[in-house]
Amino acid sequence: MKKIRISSSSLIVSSSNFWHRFSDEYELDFSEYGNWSGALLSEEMNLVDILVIFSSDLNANMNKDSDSSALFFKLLEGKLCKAKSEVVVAFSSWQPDSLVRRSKYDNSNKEFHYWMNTKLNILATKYPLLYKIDLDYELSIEGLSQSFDSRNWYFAHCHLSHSGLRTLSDSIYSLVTSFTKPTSKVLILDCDNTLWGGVIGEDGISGIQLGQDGVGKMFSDFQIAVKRLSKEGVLLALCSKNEEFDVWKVFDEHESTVLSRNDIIISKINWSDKSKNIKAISKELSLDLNSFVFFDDNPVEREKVRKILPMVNTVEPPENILDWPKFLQNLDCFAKSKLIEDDKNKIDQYRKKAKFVEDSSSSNNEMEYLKSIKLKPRFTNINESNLMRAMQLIGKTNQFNLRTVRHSQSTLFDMINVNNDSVFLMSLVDAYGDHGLIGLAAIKDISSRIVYIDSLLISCRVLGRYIEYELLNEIIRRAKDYGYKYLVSQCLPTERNTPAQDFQKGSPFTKMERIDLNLTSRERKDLYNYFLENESIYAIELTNYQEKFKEIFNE
Amino acid sequence: MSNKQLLKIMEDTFPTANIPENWMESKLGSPKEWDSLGHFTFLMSIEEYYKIKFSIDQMSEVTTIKQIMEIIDNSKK
Repeated sequence: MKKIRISSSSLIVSSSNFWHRFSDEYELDFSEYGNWSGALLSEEMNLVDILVIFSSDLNANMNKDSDSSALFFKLLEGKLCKAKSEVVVAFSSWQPDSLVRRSKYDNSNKEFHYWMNTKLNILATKYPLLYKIDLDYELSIEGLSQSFDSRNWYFAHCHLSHSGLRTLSDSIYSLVTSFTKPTSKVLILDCDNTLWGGVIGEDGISGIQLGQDGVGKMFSDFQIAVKRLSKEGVLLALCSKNEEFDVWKVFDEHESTVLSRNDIIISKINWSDKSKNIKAISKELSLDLNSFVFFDDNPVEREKVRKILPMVNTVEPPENILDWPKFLQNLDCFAKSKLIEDDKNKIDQYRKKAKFVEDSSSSNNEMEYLKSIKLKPRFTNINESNLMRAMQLIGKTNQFNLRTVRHSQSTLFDMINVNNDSVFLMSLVDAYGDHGLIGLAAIKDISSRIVYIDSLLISCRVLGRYIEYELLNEIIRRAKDYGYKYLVSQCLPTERNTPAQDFQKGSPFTKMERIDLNLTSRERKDLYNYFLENESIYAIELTNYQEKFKEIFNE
Repeated sequence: MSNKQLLKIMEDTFPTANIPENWMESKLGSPKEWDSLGHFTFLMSIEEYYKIKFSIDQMSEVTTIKQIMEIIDNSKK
């Protein structure tokens, strides 16, 4: 029996009415609540660790720089370096909050949630054994207000209600059971009343329901859901009691069919027993029956297949057929994380790399690590094809945004018209993949010798790689090309741009007073058109500038 | 009838406890497995089964099987 340890930041009720589903296959062990660090530090490796984290337990103020959030991620990464079994982090940050307040900005718990999610995504890419459950999403399906219970919180330090605890248990169950079940590879479909409404042999091609408003539309959507699975690599097979000629007519000729003959890998359209046909399909594809999913509207056929071929996953479609497309989309059996599938043999490589990260406590090693992930930043001017992305970055970037100037297309074009090189985008490729366009910078001149940073922003999902310095390097290369002598800059602090504020204060920037710029009164006046008087202004002298962190960036 | 179900919930909640013949005399602290955490778990299970909801005051005041039975009976009226 596989062991599961559940550790949580506050009480999770362990009574069997919530957890009975596990009892046949798993041994559940609930750690004393609040002691998530114990689980993360534990040397016991042969169990699945589930960490249930409520952000407000980590820190009441949803501050991501808090010690406990930092500690959590530090211990988590330490654990992952050594983990031999899956580690699941289920996390929730929801708290009720005024709609009006949220109409301008996300509240701090939502931001914190987003931050947790991003952080876990990065770790989950690096460590194949890490999985996350976004509890706020799962709980929202039943309703968040239904899922939390303030009585349970004040009486026993348990955030969740009966319904919330059930959702938690179900989510963990679905995920944990997917670890051991093989991914389903084949979807076997009936035809009449499954891929279309009615019976093709009796109703004829114009009589079946497919594409029309109402149920016909549902069958189209069902076919769309099937098609989507096939695009993800699921093999489609037909198993129908019909005349072959009739069935293919729908695929070839019906104007609303989504699936075509080519989508079907194999078909058994005849009058013999379905279990016999399914066995034949398994043989012909040489795929194991336990990777088969069987979908049939007819309960008698389902029951027969279940009896004769219990290893086939015969799914029970919802009673209300209108729910079928959603049902198919929600099936977990096809949805196993692709990363794990493709990278099973890479787990060891990942582990070595992870070990390396763990060992690199000094900044020297951090540089080695950054070198090893082969950062390749690229720069491109604004053009039609990337304009939308540029606007998106300008509109959405909050954390690493030096001045948070929300340019409109026209103010952006004004700058480009003055100098085409003054606004540009940065893209990034590294060992983790192609991140696309993730940064933007814009510079404007004060005078012929002084230029200032109008915008400098980087999408938060790629932070931690020092690429902000390469963006600055590029600004300076461009400024030098145009003959400027000094770069000046000022960060406009917002509640959320702490990373940009820190960047502004650090090297290579120096406070403007310390550099003798010999500002003319005209220059000074122009400068304060853009800069605040009560915030520090920083400057870089361009002629002697040494490019920062050049060694970690690759051409 | 309802008594038997309550006994079953009690046995499920405190699987290691030695529940005596006169289990209807049980209360918070006796058996010892019925501790404060066990109390909450027990009441949650009772809520789930009988489809009732204790107020936060009831949760701290109701500490004996007899009191629990009274609330269950009242909820049926």
